Amino acid sequence: MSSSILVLNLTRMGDLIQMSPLILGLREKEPDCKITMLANVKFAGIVRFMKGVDELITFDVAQFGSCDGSETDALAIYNYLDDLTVKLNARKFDTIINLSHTKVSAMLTKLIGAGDIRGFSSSPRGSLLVRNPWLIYFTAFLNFRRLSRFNLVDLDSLGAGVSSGGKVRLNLAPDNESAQSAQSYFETKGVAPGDLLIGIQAGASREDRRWSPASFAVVADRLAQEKGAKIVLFGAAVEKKLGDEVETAMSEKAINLIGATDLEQLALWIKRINLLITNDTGTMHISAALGTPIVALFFVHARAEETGPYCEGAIVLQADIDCAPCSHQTVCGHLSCLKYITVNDVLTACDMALEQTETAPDDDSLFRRVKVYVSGFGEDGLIDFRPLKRERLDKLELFAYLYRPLFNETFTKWDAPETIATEGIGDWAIDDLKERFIMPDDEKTEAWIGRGVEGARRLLELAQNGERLALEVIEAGDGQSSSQLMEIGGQLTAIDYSISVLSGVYDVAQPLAHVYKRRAENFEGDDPVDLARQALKAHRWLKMSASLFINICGRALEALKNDNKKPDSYEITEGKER
Amino acid sequence: MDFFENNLKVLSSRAPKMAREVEAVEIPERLSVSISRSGSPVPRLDNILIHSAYYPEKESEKFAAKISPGPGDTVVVFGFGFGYHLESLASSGARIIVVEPSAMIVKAAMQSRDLRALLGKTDLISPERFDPVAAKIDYQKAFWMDHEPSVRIDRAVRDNIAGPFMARIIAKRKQYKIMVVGPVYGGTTTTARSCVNALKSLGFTVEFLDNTIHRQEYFRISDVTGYKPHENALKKNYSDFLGEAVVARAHHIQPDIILSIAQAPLAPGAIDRLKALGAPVVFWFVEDYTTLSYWKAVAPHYDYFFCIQKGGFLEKLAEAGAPYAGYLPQAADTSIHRPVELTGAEKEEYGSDISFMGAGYPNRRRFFSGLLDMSLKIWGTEWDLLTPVGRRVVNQNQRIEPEEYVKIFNTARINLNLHSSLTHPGVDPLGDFINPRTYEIAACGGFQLVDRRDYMAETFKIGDEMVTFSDIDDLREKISFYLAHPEKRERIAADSRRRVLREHTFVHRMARMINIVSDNDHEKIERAREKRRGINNVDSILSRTDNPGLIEFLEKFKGERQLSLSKVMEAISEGEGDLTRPESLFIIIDQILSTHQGEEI
Repeated sequence: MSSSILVLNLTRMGDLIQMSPLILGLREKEPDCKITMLANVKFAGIVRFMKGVDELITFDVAQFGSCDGSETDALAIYNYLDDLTVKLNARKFDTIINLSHTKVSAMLTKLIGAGDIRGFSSSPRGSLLVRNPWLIYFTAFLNFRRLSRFNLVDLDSLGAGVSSGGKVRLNLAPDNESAQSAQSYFETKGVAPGDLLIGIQAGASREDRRWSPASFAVVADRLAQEKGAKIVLFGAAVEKKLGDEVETAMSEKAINLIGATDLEQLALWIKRINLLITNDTGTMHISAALGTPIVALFFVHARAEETGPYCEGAIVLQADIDCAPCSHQTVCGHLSCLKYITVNDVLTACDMALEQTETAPDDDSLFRRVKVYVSGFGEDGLIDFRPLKRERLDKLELFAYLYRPLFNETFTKWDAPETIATEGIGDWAIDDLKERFIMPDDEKTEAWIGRGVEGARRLLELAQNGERLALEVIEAGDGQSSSQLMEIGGQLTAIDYSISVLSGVYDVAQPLAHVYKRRAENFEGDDPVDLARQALKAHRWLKMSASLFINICGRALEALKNDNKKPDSYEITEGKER
Repeated sequence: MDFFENNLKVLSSRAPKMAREVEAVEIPERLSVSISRSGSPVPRLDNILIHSAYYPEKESEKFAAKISPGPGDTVVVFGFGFGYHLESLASSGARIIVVEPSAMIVKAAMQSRDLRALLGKTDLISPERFDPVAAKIDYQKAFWMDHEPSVRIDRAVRDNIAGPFMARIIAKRKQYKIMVVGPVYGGTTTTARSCVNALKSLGFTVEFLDNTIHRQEYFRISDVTGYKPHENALKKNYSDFLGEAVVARAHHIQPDIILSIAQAPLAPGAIDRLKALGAPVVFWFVEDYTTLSYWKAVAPHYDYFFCIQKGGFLEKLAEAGAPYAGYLPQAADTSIHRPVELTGAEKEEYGSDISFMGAGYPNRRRFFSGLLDMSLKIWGTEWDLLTPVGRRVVNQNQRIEPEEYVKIFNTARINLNLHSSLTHPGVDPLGDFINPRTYEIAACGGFQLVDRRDYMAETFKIGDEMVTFSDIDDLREKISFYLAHPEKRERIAADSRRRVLREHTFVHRMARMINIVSDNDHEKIERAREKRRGINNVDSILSRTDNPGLIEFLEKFKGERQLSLSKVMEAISEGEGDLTRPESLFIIIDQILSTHQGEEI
């Protein structure tokens, strides 16, 4: 009998779209499975266009919000949630996949219940529970962002136990009928079949994540004047004022669709346009899903590696500033990064995207304070943002590249850490480093790697001690007295504390330390022997991962020494030491 | 049958002091007893017939039917009369307390009727003994009843007792939350605090916005500029800001009644925004309206405007558009103003023949120069210390806290009390209201000589409870007299104190204010509460659900007016074991409502 899967995603439109590979991955793994999606009603419209979803159930608590300021009826919400979870529980899903890292979705998952829960759930006592290593990583990576090279789309798929390996992309499929009637619709908007249409998404979910309206206007005018492009402004109704600002600042006419399209119409437009210039938005993800070329601008806490467009050939400009990416809680007094990307940078990127080239003009004035990435898929099948400019490698980038294959290996063997390979992993990542970066001098590379290895060795030692203590508890079984258990518990706590301290002292060891810590926070149950078994696996994982890290670092050091290749395109030789 | 002796035996066993008073009192001719048509003795005092001249027995059932009390209830009845109205009530099973000011009426009753059964079932007490009894009553189940003819005889006494009693019932049953807004600086700050003390002692929940915390900043504004218009503009802006803070706080705590004290930083706009919350906004203007004119601007905005002057001022308030204007004089705060024991050193420091405690207003500076040949000590602020009068200022113009000036009032042989005046050099012949000091000195048990005021005679019995003076010569004569007659000082001080405790405390004032507001606006207050409570009142939820799990879960919140999610979360976090279904659902609700109605959860 085919299995029944419930996928929960109560977050935003962009997050929903980024789940589409997961949906198709599930379908590919089990073609006959029934996939039901529970999505926030506000953004559920996009689900209609996602291939592979059999049934959509909307989650609508916004209906209980008041427009007149009067009180929200707690009983009404209670009854709604109660009914919803009872009905869904009665459906007896085989699997629930919840990739929303929120208490609401975790609680709903617990109340709906299933034999196989992937993603976030709640323990019986209400604490957030996550078992899958990729999702544990998801909860931890904000502590070491610049050491992380995993995109959320891949984390979602891997976290759900579905690895498309890059074979399945984002997908959206507007209705065929709609597509046929689209042309006459475009004509009413003054768009002829051969017109060069360039879309601009000037808004973003936060004001500090968007480029200035005036800059967008200049870019739009230049594209209209130099390329004869017709400019289309996209955005939600709440962005109308922003859209008006752009339109007013333009000297050329624009097709202003802000607040004027439903999701279906938006998808049709996105499919029609030749290029989208956008901040980090849901529209960007729609474009990626529909195969529309993209020039994406990333600022503030947005980071291309994490949420960049999941497709090939997108050009992503990211302000090159020491404080980026900043934390979501940061309140910035200067927002300098917004000024780092210039009009000429964006126009150049547009040229490259339209011509589908990865070669930028040889012009020192371009991309001076900007990192430029081109999206593609790496050796491991996961999305990869390749730097366009060959710049000097910095320490965090070095280890970020090395960690990607390490986690690929160690997460696959999460529950059987003794099988983690400790050599032969990650050669392709080392090759990528050599290809993409100018190496620092040997002394520096040795110092960085030496420090990293030192940190890993200390972690390994602590993990070995933890392993030994956990084994002691397991072997003693029920025969241990509570005072002995408390003694061992105290020692294990001390080891955990030392691991935390180490992650501060050895910054490049943070990914290992934080993933371990999150794993330990998700131990379940009260029985000391059970807990010891979980602790044993966790310490073993840390031990093996640290060993692999040491091995990869050793090979990287060998490979990267004395390897300063001349650039193929151009390089920035000046620039700050990082 | 000798009714009196038999009755006295019963009364003596239950209220010995009352029995002694009744036994000792003489019955004057103005109290007569006649026989009703039904043959029962009926008293008349002056022209007031105390019971029905026809069928006084029929009063009983009619009286008891007004409230139909039962076991567990306490009914306080004002007026014993001849007891006819109490017969049914006394058999109801409730505790009946009868307050009767007139021992002679009781005596006449005991001489005329067999009251043994009635006296055996009721607690007959005099008004002076009511307070300790009142302190032990459960106001949730208390009732007040008036025997109307008795009230006509002693209305003032009745009001003095009934006022606080009714206010306590309101506090217990309606559980009003009262926000008191105080001034930033000035003499009214102590009034504000005393209001808070009194409201709390009546049983209300009180939130006090003590704006004196902003005093320093407010006065620092004067350092910013020497240009007065700028200084005034800055001070107004600051004051308006404080008013906004009051409004914001009121939105947060959702009071049932808002009381603003004179000089509170509330401009008309802020008052209107407070009113929009649905709570009655009350103002107590404890200033001289002829000196401070800002009352004109605010009067039409407050729901209630209480003041310490009547007559012409009340008319002016009505003309200014005040919806309600009422007289409410100052008072003493018995939690502060009371007799205190002093050490020898304190008596030395604070003691004197003649003391004055207060600010150096022009009339005082001039008037007291007529006493410089006497042993006069002055405490206070704003005195010109370089003048002969100023040299008598003991504390060098430093602020004196209430705890300190209470010692002054306690130890001075004579406390001088000259009301301030900006218009007259000494005693203001047109002075009407009575200042707080008058009540405070009296409550402390101190003896005072106070300048004549229009309202003094109705407030205190002149000569017995208070001694007044009209000019400097009058004062000098009375100082000499009373310094020479300590026993008279003591007697007058004691009577004065008794009068204040009986009628002129902040408890009396706040009770009167709340009773008026509650009588007029209890429906408005309930509507505002209902609107605030809305649908998340625990009882409302319980009445709309038949979900057994939810009902069981909400049992622990019964009695809470509002289902506060923070209380629910607190209860959940303090629980043990696995989460129940309702707990899990409430965690979700809490998360949803603390974000944006589920937009991004």
